[in-house]
Amino acid sequence: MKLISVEIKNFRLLKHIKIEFSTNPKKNLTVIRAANASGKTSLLNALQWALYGNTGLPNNGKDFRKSPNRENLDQNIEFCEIKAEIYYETISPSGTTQYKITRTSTEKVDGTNFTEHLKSVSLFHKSDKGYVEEEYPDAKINFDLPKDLREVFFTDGDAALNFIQGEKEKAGERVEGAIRALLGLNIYEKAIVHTKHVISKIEKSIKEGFAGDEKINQYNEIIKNFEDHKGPNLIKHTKAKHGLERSIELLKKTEQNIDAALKNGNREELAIELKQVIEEKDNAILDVTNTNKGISDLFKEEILAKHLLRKKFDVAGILLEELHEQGHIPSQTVPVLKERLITGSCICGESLDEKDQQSIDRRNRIEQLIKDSKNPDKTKENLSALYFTSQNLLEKIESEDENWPKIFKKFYKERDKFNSTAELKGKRQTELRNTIDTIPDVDIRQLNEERSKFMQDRDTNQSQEIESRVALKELDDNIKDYKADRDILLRNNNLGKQYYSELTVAKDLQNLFEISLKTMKTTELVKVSDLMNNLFLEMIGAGRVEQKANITSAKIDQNYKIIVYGTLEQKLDTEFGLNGASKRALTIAFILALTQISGTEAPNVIDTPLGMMSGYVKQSTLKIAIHQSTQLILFLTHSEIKDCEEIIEQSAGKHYTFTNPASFPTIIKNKPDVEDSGILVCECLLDSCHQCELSKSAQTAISKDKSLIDWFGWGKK
Amino acid sequence: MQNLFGQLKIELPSHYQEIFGKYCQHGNMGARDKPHIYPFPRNVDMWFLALCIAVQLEIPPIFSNKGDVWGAIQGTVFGSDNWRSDSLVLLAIGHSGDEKIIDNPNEMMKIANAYALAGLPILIAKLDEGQGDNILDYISDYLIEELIEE
Repeated sequence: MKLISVEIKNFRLLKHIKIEFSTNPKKNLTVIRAANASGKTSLLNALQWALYGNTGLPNNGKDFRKSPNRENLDQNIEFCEIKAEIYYETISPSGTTQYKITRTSTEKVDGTNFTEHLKSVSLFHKSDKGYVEEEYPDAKINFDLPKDLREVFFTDGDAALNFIQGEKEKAGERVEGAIRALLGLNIYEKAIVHTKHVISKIEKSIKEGFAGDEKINQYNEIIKNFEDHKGPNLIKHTKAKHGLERSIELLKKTEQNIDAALKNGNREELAIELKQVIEEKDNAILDVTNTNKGISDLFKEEILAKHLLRKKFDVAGILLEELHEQGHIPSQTVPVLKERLITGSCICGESLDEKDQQSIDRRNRIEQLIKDSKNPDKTKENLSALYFTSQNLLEKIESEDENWPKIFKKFYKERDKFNSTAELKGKRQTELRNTIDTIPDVDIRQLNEERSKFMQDRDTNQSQEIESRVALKELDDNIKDYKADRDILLRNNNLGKQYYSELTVAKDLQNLFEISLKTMKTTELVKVSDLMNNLFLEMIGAGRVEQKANITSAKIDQNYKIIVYGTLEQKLDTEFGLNGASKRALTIAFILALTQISGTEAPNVIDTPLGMMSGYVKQSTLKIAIHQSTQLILFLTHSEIKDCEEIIEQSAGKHYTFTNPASFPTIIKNKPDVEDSGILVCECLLDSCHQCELSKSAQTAISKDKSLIDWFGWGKK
Repeated sequence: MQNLFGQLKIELPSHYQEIFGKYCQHGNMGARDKPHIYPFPRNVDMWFLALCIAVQLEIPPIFSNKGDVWGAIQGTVFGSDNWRSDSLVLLAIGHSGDEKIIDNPNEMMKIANAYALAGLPILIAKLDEGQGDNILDYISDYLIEELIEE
């Protein structure tokens, strides 16, 4: 299907416009250039309304006013007729057919209030005799461009993001809905249900028709008995299967939580380590203090005096040595004389006993000598004691000896070691404290208990699932065997033959639909996924040096979720892990891939697809979209066109610029010739005419890649 | 040798009292655990180092000790370190060149204290320089680099 043209009257900002779309396969692009608030969204809604009526409008048209605002209507008007006329063509094996849709609606307007009064739709196909009206216009339009695919074929850049962002489940549902609709999965599923119903009806007829045939009846009874047993087993199996899926999911989640908690670190273990580290740090600090005490005690050491008093010690040492050499020290006179008195014999050999006067005289002389020697000997005694006790002080320090600097340096080195340990432990203490602060207070023990419980649940459900599956298979095998035996009997009977043939055809059909559905769900889904991945990577230029997104691939999984992978094969969050340009590129890639694989020929109408993009990504996305689409209709702002002028010029078969007269003088330069604010249309693309020429300020905003909304502050209150 | 100075008291000008309190652990609560702030275990250790500095740097001893005095050290302290008592005697003999001075503990102590008084200003200046740093290391480095290894 291709859109040929559209004419719209009184639809919001579009008072009366007529647009032709490019149907040229070589120039398949139609560009509508429009600044903000210049009718792009009005046109997108008008096209969908023309095709699908109110159901094509946001919120199914509820509270959606189609008619222009009061200021754009004639003051006295009470009823406003809204009209859209679309020409389109379809290609079938028999050739190309052109159609015309005319949809009208009449709204009663009263200030801001409105009520829809009349509505109508007509569809005509072009024949040799002119336009012939179709009997069921909505059904025919739905056939040519299914309403289910509205979101795929008519979209705006922001709304398309709903395929990948917002609530995860809803995004998945949207993707699933689009895939199911475009690949026709619903049709296959409905067909399978229908053939099952037919088979069941034939079975019933066989039962009724051969109620009198004892043998066939007997088979039917057995088959019925097996089928009756299938019900409870089916319930059991479904329950076990769901239970199994649920417990696997919970188990996975719990294991992820445990992994995350362990990756962060076990709070309990870290607290133990912290305690130990603090203890080690305190010990090291204590060691530092003790070493300092050791150094301090070095001031009490003899060796210090030996170093620093050397000059005086040497003088004293020489003097003491001389006294020693001269025999003055050590002092021995008094002790020797005293000893002689005790032994009673003089040094000369004479007796000192008190038996004769001579001996007494000798003894008295010695006692007088002792008395006379006492005072000078006190000095000598002290000097002698000094001589002996100060030997260590008087000895010189040899360089290799344990000297004061050596001992100090030994302490210093040790203290340095303790200081490093204390510093290291202090750092670790801070690290641990910070880590502990950031770890959520997760109870790993409880998580482990939960894991055990989910593992138990999984095992129980798994055995129940296997048990019920085996039972079901046995029942199915039995049913199949007995039916085969019964069918042999049927074939021997004329009526039976007819039933048998009908049954065979129905079963073959069911089988065919089931295989097709399976293929669609697997092969076709994979094809969409692969093509989306290729287009997406090409759009963002994955692998280029300047590509900073670090994206390696994107895919649609079995649950219809779009997943993007990073360079480490990790899943990236499609909402927060991608930049705006990548998100838009991904949704456009998905839409194009889905359209391509479904084989549907339909226009892709996209409002502001290139917003937030720039440079390479913008150009490649545009090129790929043009290449992949049968007919591409883009609504672009001036900023989006910037840097893509050449591509657009080469591919645009038709192009228009919408101008809102109310945007004078902010956006447009020249005062429009009209009084109201209905959108004006010209055929400008890259240049400007008097009608669409932009103001200097708007041009500056565009040259700076600024949104006109931001530039003029329209978004601010 | 027995302590010849047991009966004596070392007296210093009273302004030194505060300074000794600033750098000696003895008499300061908890100072024993802060040798990096209070480097000397006792007053005698600081006094003795001062006299060592004067001797090593050959600074003339200062014998006049006018004004108010402070009884900084009891002579009994030398009983626990006999080598210190011996050092003072050797110093006195070395200084006077007369071994008989050994009979006069008062005179010997006067000589020692005179050297200490000569060395104290230098020591205190160094200690003050080391303020805010690890004084213990600062003074040890000074001893090694400028007095011992020079």
